[in-house]
Amino acid sequence: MTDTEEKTALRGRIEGGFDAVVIGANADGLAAAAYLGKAGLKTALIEPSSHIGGAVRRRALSSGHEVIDGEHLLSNLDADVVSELGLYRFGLSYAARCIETQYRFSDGRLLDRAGDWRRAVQKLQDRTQTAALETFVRDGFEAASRLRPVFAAPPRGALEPASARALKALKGAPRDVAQRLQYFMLASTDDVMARYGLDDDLRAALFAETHLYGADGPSEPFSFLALMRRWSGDSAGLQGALSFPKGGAVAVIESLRNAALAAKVDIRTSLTVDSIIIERDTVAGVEFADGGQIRAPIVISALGASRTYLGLVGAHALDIDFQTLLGQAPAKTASAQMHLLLKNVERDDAAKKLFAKRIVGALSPEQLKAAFAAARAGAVPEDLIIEAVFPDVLNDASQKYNLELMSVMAHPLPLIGSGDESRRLEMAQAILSAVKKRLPEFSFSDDGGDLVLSSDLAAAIGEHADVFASRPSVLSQHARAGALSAGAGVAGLYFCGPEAQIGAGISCLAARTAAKSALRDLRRGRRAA
Amino acid sequence: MIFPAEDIFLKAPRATPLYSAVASESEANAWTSVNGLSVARVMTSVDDEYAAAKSSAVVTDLGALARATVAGPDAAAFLSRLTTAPALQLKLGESARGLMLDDAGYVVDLAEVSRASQSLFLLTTPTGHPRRLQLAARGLNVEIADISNEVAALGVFGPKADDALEKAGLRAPAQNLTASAVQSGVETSARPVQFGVIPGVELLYPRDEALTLWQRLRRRGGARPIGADALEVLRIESGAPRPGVDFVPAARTHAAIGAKSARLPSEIGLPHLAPVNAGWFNGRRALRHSAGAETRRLTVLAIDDDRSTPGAAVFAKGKTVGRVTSCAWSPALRRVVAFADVSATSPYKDYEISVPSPTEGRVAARLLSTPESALAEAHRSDSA
Repeated sequence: MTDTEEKTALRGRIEGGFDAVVIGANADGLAAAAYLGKAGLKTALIEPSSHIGGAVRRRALSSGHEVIDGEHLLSNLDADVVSELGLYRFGLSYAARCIETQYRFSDGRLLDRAGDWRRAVQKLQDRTQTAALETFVRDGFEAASRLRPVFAAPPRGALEPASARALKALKGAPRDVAQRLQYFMLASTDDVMARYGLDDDLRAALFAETHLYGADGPSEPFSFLALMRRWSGDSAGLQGALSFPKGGAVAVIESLRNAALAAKVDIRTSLTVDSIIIERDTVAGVEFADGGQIRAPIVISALGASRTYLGLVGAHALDIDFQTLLGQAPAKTASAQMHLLLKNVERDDAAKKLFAKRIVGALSPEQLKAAFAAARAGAVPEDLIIEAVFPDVLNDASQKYNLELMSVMAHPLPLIGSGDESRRLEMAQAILSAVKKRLPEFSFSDDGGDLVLSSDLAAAIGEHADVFASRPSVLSQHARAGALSAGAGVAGLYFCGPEAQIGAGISCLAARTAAKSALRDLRRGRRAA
Repeated sequence: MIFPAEDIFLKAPRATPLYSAVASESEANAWTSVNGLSVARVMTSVDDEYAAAKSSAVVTDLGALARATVAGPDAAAFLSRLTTAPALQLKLGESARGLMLDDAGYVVDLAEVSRASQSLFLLTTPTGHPRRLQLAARGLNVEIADISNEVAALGVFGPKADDALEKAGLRAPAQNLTASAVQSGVETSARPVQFGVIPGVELLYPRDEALTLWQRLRRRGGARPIGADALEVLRIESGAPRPGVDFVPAARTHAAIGAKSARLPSEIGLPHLAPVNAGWFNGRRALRHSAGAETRRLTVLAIDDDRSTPGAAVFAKGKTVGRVTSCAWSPALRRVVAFADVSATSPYKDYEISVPSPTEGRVAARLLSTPESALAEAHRSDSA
């Protein structure tokens, strides 16, 4: 009998003695459980499915190739989470710490950028643009560092708006810096790029970085903050870098799982939580479909907000305005991932160098605006931002790799349900067409690629498609995350689901915030007692 | 039930179902409007109407209040969530008063809930809240219908209200329970209500029959019509605060004035209508945490003068501590009774009120015990 089987055989009875229950074994759930376990709390991590890792999962294609759904690069796995949970000790390592990027424009020209934007400045041949980019990058990185608190998930009970947090971040800053930060918070990407006098290529490259995964187009107010959030992130110890963990995103999940197990977290899979037990406005544990319970004074949910609050707490026990927040219309756009098999791959040195890069198909401002307008209207845009990487190459420093697999992220696409086959085919063709335009030197197998829509990821973990819709402006995300993390006013209930995170990607910052809030409240409660 | 604040700027109010009946009897022809509907301020004289309410029976048009039916398996749960009234505990025919609170525990409005059947309730509020009702219903199996324009609503108050009803051939609700029946050929729902300190009965019936019951009560029951100004005196004497006059409803404060104007139930003297240890209701969790956070207190004062005005300053120990929010001459007390919004830290008993020109100065005022304040006090004692 395996551990899991043994534990699930205990179903149907009421179990006490637990200090905390975490629901959902995705990256945030694992991290939250690891934090609580490490603090000495007897913690149970409950996962409704048999899979650990949420939307991130390894899968075999019909061709036999293994692919990873969910994430293909890391941009902001929080450095504090890595060090506090000791993830390096639990198997996290980076196969590529700071990936170089090649931007490909619609007219066929290229722009190579070293991993760090600050190094990229030195490689520009146009000296006028060097000065402009140097100023922009210097100001941008400084602003991103200072604005970091704004991009962190707001702690439970902290209802101050992002703007108030930003004002705190401005305290003590020189007058010109404070003015610039305020401008960056309000401005559109288009405005900022124009003010710094960046040329069309640099603008297109920076637009792609800013608006990939986002719901806002380049001319919309507050849209520039998305780039600041990206640059505030810290991957592999480098601010603003993009990195590839050895083994892909699955390896990050594995290291988090190891950290949780080392912290003596009781991980139980295939166990569906039916409701969160609330007694006198305080969490008392969770109840399972078969009537069994785990009693605990702390519950952290890493599931989606609707599933947590409407499904597990229940509409009848929610405050009305809070419920309204859950019903907010999601963005009408989303991203998609596509796994493509390559044919007749050249294996010369030049090709090998290219395979180690991240290739971004950038759109001009006009193309990007048209793409957002089309996607929001429900149509598949003519051209898309694409981000292509070769996971097998990045994963294997010995270069004895298989050169047959390319992972592509495409954006913006209309948000559709996972069952809409005709729209699906249309999207797959659009992505393939965008890839062929920007990477004409490659030939692809005839199967048309393996498309993973955001709604597929959501369906795989039992969530509504909205959960992985494009991210609205940072300020909107902050306001919503702050309200949702308040746990509907129920003492002992914490939330670190996807909506509690600012920005896309694996960050685990929401989990850290939820776990720290829970521990802080527990200490306060004990002191008060 | 209490009328909300008047619509000061509305020039063309609509008619209630009972408008023609009331208008034909209004000798003073003095009108105001509430929720966009015409309401008679005075029928003959305020003093006479007040005296009739205290000694015999009066009849009034309650058509300006907002009414909705709530039906469905989750109707009780819905109303328990939307209001602080214990809808889940109500037995058939029972009514209960409550408050509507926002998520932060601030008062949005007053509410009254009556259970007509196992899964049918009547919700009456001073002001309509269609959007709030719609939002609160999400996730619950209920059907809400606004019946404000569908029914005539007639209130019969006073110590001889039951006699008046009997003489008119109408039955008063037995044992304080709502009763629905065909009365004098009209499908009528009769439920016990209070307007201020005066107990009474509210009759709800189809608007097409509006005149039928009014005429019977007037001609055969002998009930005298009463206007809003006399009802206002009764309201203040009873200690029932008026939304939009004595406090600003929370839903409006956030949008227009700022959260500081919002009031907790205890700040408007109605903590007994939102008991945090009873069932769950919207805003209860926040209310639990706000215990002791009151900054204001709404009190009823008896002022040693024959007049006062809303907005008059209230002093305690020489310092300004608040202002008068509404006031009226009480023929029974022979002085002005007033609601005053004062600082929660001000002393409880003795105050002074500023007197407007030409006789500027200050007059003494003392705290007046009201039926509502007695309930609040009993609640505080129980909670302690």
